[in-house]
Amino acid sequence: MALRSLAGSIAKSVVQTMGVSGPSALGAGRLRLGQAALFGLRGYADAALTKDEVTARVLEVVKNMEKVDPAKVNEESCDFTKDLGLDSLDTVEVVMAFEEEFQLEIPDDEADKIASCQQAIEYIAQHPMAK
Amino acid sequence: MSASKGFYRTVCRYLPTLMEMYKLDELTTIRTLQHNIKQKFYENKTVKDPNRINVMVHKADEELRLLLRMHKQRHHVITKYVVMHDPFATKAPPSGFLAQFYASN
Repeated sequence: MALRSLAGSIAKSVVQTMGVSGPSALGAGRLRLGQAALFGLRGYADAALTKDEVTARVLEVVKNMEKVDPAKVNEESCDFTKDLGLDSLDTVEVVMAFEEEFQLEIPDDEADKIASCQQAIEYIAQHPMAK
Repeated sequence: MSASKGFYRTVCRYLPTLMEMYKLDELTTIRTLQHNIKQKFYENKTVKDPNRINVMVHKADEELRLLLRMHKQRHHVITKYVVMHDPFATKAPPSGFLAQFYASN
């Protein structure tokens, strides 16, 4: 009982600071709303990147690599070693370029698995931190 | 990830730091530096023995640590990675006079 009255008084003070009055404003829902206002409006990040966007940006990054012939870059068959003729060090550079473009940090074992554009697109599209 | 590939990744990650530490941005760009370091890797392209590769990666890793602790001076870095000119790599042939002298003795 004492707890409930405490909660009630807190709700009342919150509502007073909000400048809202009236008996209906003392409900639990109002309290939550008041708390949200006290802690400032929550900002939500943009929704995850769409696959099309990721695809376009990945292909753009690969096309801009020094050794890559841009004409050979396409979405379907784009293995870094087989189709683009990159060696293992170039592949490392491509993955680092992805990291820079999407502001990610790809761990070593994940980076090892990315061997083609499709794999890169798949990995980045499902990555929650990709920007 | 193979040892050399992983090490190349590490080096690439440290390049901006090294550029700043040794004030290399007034001499070169990060791209050129990366290219030069890649050439160093390519010099040992033919080595396939994993033990030898491991030793080389270990030595290179030591060198990277030394560089990061500033145990090397700026001119070391410049000669080795920016200008890439080692004056002792090839010995100049002896002059005509010396060649004659060597032949006569």
